[in-house]
Amino acid sequence: MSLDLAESRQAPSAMTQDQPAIEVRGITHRYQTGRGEVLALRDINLSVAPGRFVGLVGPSGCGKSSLLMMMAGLVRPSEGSVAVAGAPVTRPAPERLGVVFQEASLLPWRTALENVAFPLKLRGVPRAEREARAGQLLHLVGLKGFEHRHPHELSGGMKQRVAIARGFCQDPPVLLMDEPFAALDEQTRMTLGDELLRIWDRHRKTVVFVTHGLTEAVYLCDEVVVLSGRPGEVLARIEIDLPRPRTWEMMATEHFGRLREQIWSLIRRQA
Amino acid sequence: MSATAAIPAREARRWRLSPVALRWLCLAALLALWEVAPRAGWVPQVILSPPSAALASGFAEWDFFASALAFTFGEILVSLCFAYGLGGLLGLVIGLSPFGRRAALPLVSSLYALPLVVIYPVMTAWFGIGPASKVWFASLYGIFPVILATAAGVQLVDRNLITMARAQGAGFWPMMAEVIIPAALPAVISGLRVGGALVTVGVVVAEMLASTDGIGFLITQNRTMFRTPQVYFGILLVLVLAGTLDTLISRLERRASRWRPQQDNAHE
Ligand SMILES: Nc1ncnc2c1ncn2[C@@H]1O[C@H](COP(=O)(O)OP(=O)(O)OP(=O)(O)O)[C@@H](O)[C@H]1O
Ligand SMILES: [Mg+2]
Repeated sequence: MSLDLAESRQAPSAMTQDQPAIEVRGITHRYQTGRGEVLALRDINLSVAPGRFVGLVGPSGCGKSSLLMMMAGLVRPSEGSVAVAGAPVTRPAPERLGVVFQEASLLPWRTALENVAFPLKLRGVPRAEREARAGQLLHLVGLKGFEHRHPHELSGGMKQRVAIARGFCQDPPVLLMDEPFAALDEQTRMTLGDELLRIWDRHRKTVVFVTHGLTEAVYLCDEVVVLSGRPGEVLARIEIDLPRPRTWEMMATEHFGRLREQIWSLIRRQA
Repeated sequence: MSATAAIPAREARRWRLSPVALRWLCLAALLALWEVAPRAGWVPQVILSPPSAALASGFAEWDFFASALAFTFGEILVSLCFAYGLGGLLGLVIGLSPFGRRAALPLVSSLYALPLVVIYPVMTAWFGIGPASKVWFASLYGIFPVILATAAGVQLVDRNLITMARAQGAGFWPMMAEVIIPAALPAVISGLRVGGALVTVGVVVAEMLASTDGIGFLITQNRTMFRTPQVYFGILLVLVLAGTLDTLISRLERRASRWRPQQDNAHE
């Protein structure tokens, strides 16, 4: 079940190694609500080097999704700024940066195939071409045979997989994923995790991956950023120095356990 | 546990009347009563003529009725274009912005609640008693539910879908075509249904009040001459017109909601 995305392989681009793929400078964010202001994030500084796989963990409500929205140019931070590949982010730029949302956010009147192909449709890619690619991606996430189902005919985990496939569809160099595996069973989660690592490795994508799963975070990431409870602040950045490629056996090692424990103790103190 | 036990018990009943069959049965009973009541002398025939008599005398003057029907149909068609086109557009504009909603929705709702028929005489003064005044009146009469339903439908679009499409770089028109309009469509169509019924009412009532042609005009004229069967034939024609329009909209509704989960298994 492997898929070569080479037809649309990303050129290594002008991105130099010393220029961060994502740079967050001094982001503070307040939401205006009916009952006054909510300080969601405080003075976040974060730099993600190109090709890195970075995890984002923290207690619920600490502003992980909000931070991702700002990186994607969907929410303007109250203070501070974001740059992607050196260019300031002012609006969504789907060809540079893709998002997989926490809610699957599928168009209910479109089939799974059409949902995956949606980003390409917006870019005017001919139907046959975009659906061929969408079909491959559905195969990749294990949904062969479900191409023509509508979202209401799919389970929560299947919907989430369609959303993941849609995230890959444009093959952007930077991918932001907000708890993409949250609705999946353990086995699918591990399989898709490996698939994600494979794509990431082959195409040298930069990934920011929000998760509540610490095992998943350690298994997938180069680095895990731990945020504090609301208002979210960067508590620690933990380097995951496990060798690549990662294997499932590594999870049983003492080192893996220590890294996981280290993150857990930071988060536990927040609650 | 008790719930699961209850189901087989109900299933065990020997024969069941389907809702559709019951509906047709009621209709048939009503028709039979309508036919029998005047014939048996329960109701004077000047007040209620049996459907068979209405059809017979109507078809005897068919040319007359046909041209009136075509006239009324034309007026309805033009009024529908205005009510749907303008109403849909206004509904979109109002529904899309919080400013528009706050500014216009209360006004539209109150206008909708008014008995607009009181302004029809004014319209005949402005536009004469020809088709123009009917079209103006019926369009106005039918436009409000279309505006309200469209505005409500647009408002209810899932915010997550809008965010998702924005993240994919969708501009104004793709956002409209791919997200907003499909999401609002079921609500819009229910507005079209009410608006369509009101347009039909508007045209016929306007014809009955002041005009020189059309089904409404024929109904009034025949009534003043006590030609009761012809009056009922006119009424039947209006029913057929309204029924046809409603059927067309139901078709549209079914087409537009094919993707949705089946709510119940109402077999039509
Ligand atoms: N649109 C909004 N308006 C007002 N407050 C908001 C809005 N979005 C988020 N918040 C608040 O900002 C805080 C951070 O929310 P966010 O969704 O970013 O958290 P999160 O870390 O992703 O949480 P979770 O892990 O549960 O998904 C929360 O307290 C939330 O109530
Ligand atoms: Mg979140």
